[in-house]
Amino acid sequence: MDWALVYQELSAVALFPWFFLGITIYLAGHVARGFRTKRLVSRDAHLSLLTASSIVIAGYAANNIIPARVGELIRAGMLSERTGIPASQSLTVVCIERILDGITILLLCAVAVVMTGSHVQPFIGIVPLIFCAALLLLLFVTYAPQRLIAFISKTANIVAPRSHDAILRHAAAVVNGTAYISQPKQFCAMGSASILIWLCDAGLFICIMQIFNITLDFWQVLLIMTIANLGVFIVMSPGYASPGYIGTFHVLVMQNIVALGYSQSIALACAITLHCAIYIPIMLWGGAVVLWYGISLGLKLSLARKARPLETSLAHIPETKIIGKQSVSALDEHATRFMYRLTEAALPLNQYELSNPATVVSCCADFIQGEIRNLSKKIQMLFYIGMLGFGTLVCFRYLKLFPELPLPVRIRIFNWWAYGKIPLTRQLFKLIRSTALLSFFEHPDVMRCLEEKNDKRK
Amino acid sequence: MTAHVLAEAGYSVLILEEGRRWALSDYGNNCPEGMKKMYRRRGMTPIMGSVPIGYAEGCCYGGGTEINSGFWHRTPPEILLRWKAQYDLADSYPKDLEPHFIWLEKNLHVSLHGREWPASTRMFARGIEAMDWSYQEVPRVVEGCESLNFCPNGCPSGAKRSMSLSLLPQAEKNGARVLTNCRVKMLIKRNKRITGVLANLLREDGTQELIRIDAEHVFVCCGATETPSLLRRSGIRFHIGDSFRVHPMLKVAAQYNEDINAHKSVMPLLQVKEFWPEISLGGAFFANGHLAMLLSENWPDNNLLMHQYTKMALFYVAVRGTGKGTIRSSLTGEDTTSIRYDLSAEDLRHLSKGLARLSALLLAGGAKTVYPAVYAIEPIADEISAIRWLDQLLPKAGISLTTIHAFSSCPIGERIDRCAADSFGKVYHFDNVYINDGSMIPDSPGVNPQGTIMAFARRNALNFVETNK
Ligand SMILES: Cc1cc2nc3c(=O)[nH]c(=O)nc-3n(C[C@H](O)[C@H](O)[C@H](O)COP(=O)(O)OP(=O)(O)OC[C@H]3O[C@@H](n4cnc5c(N)ncnc54)[C@H](O)[C@@H]3O)c2cc1C
Repeated sequence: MDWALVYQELSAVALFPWFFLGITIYLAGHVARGFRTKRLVSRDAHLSLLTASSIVIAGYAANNIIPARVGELIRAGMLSERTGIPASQSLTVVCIERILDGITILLLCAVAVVMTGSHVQPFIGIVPLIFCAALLLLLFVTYAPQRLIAFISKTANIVAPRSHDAILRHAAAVVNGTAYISQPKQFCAMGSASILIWLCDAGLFICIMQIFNITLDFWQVLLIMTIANLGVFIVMSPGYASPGYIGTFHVLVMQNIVALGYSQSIALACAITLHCAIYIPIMLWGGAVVLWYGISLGLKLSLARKARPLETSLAHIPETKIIGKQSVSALDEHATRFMYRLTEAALPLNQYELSNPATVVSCCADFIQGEIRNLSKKIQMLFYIGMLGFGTLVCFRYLKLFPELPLPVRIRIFNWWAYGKIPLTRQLFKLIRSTALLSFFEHPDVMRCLEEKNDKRK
Repeated sequence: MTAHVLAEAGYSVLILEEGRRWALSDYGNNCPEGMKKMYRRRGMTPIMGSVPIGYAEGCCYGGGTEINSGFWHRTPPEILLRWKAQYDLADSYPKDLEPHFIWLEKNLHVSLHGREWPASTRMFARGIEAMDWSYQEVPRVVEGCESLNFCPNGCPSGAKRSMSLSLLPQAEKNGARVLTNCRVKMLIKRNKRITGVLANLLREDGTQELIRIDAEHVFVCCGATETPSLLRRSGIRFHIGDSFRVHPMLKVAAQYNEDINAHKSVMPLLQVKEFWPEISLGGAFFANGHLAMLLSENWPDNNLLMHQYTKMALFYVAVRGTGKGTIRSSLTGEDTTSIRYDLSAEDLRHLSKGLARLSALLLAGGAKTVYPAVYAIEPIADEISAIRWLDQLLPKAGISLTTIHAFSSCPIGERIDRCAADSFGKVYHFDNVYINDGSMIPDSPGVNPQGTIMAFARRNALNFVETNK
């Protein structure tokens, strides 16, 4: 290695605009990380975006100076302290984030490998196994929480009956930690946020490479970024990981740039600049956060000493033991636009002179939506699969989404599916038609119309 | 019932109820509102199987009795003897249950309507008399019914002696304590004993807590679907949830020439006994929404009938289900229960025959046309088209069934090869856990089940007190 050349490259670096642009994009990624944390704890605590991002950055800053990823623990501790959620829950949240990160990087890496036609680096072999196992565990905890609680309760009862409640309290906290992603929609949203986060990191790589006139296509940059991060992960095991990944990171970035035909000195200069772009803002922001946190924690602890102990059993029922908080999922009572338009097609609106048809429709649609959301998960899933099929077929046939179609067409389609000759479509629509008609004919406005009609007839 | 007996005997009793405790002023809503407040999953608990069946059960303080019609029957002696023969059910001869029925009928004020029958009942009676079939006005757990027609949404006058107004307050007076909004997740097992339960307690402020409650004895009375689900979730599976039964029910709408105003009166109060216990014919709750749901099977042809709602009434054919059903807790251990029932060929035959007979009866009683809840079959306007269902089977793919009577998911009896608990509800292989609700009924009783469930529950609870002295 010609260090003089490296020095020369580094001293010629023009920081403006690429270096600053890169840092901005990189910090935007951290704000996205903050957003992800904020959402993951949103069922139990309100965390501002700034606080959430600061907690993430403080964790990163700690990782930069303490080895063995101790920063993750610090991050969990701060999250717990700021939100009031139990430490096991905040640790779960951090684990979820790291698992999502790992899976995202692996996916991006796989895509980059395919797009660039490169060979997979041998050290990556074990990483997918680790993350897939972690993901499976996460899915189990998220989608079968009661099984976990039951299993832990049974095991604790045998192994350590005296600590049953304490162990279960931690298990409940872990389950709470995963509660936000128990809705598949939210799981996907968190997955998407993770992709955005790592694209921001790739953005930083692109900007820094511009400084050294390293012109690689997007997929090559993505590959370098993902390999560098996966490599860092491999050597992060306690005792092995260097603080701030100094050395490991540089070697990985450098090797990959060199492999693409650039000189060693340019590659190393680029790696060093990249590391500075990652290191400096994190240390500044993170350091300030840790300092401020230290002061406010001191104040809090002194208040906590004076605080009353938590309730451990219900006042009037001493045989109860409160183990811990559980997340509640509030039911969204509002109909989606699709459901509103479907309901509109299901109701005999033209037969009744309603004072406000739109209100009646939305009242019925809300009712149907509520009923559907109350179905067991299995039946709900079957129903949604059916509806997806319905929406897709309608879209193919009319080249428009169902809600966009004019009412007469929607009525025709609805009648065909709900009252047609095919038992399967009738069965699928039975739930909608019967709950729609039930709520419609029980609506006070419709009852009034029926009574008026009846009076007229007499 | 269980809490009442145990509290009276001096036990320290804690009742855990998943649903809310409503005041009388919260009762008497329209159907959608009632479903939201008082039904499990807002009434969305369908039974899957070869013919899906709409099923609903209560989920509030007082359980199903808050939303039922209160029709009361003693268990037919024939059925009791069958249970003795098939399940070796001890102490279950009619004479054994008689004192319990007497006690219950007195304390719950089980009585006849005692007022002029509403038009729908009169029309039904006219039909039965024309057919010369045996029938009875069914006594109800109601005192001074004001015919408000709110039975399935909570009786706002308090005339219905539902549990929240009858036995539960008495139990509370005797020291029983109640935790509502408290769903038991699982029983905590230690060898052959249950040491307590784990439950989720929903607080008024919307937060929820995981709590553990220790207990010396645990009575599981969560109903025919939730009792087996809870037991299975807790790892208790011996004959649990393997023999679920229902009374499948086919409803019809009858259109008359004159106004019946079924929406303003209590449902028809009579039941035809002629074909008991295999088939029973009776009157169903009427609301415009319910009428619309029934007519929706053939809505394009029937929708204009809604304008004639004052001339319509609803009736049902119910059969003593002989099909097989299962209850399973969900694979993920989540709080959902998979309910399955496969309609037997006999069930379908009985339903078809029942439809023939009910339609003939209604036509003889003055109905102009009968509209069954079956897809694409012609409305029945004369006896010939009614009678054809005596020999023909209803189409499985078009039939729309419902039920509100579920039981037998954890049968009791001495036959350990088919029962989940002994004759008095003590779960096999466990020392201190008991079943005491609809799930213990060994097989379809063929009549409205509340009387049977309560009589057995009282018998079992008293037996517990006696044997644990
Ligand atoms: C609309 C309707 C009309 C009916 N009409 C009649 C009639 O006229 N005559 C008749 O004889 N029968 C009638 N029935 C049936 C009758 O009401 C039921 O068979 C009877 O109430 C069953 O009693 P049970 O004790 O087995 O269960 P339920 O009454 O259902 O009580 C079970 C209770 O346990 C609670 N629970 C369940 N799981 C849990 C858990 N995990 N933790 C805590 N609590 C839990 C439930 O919320 C519920 O309150 C009707 C039913 C309905 C729905």
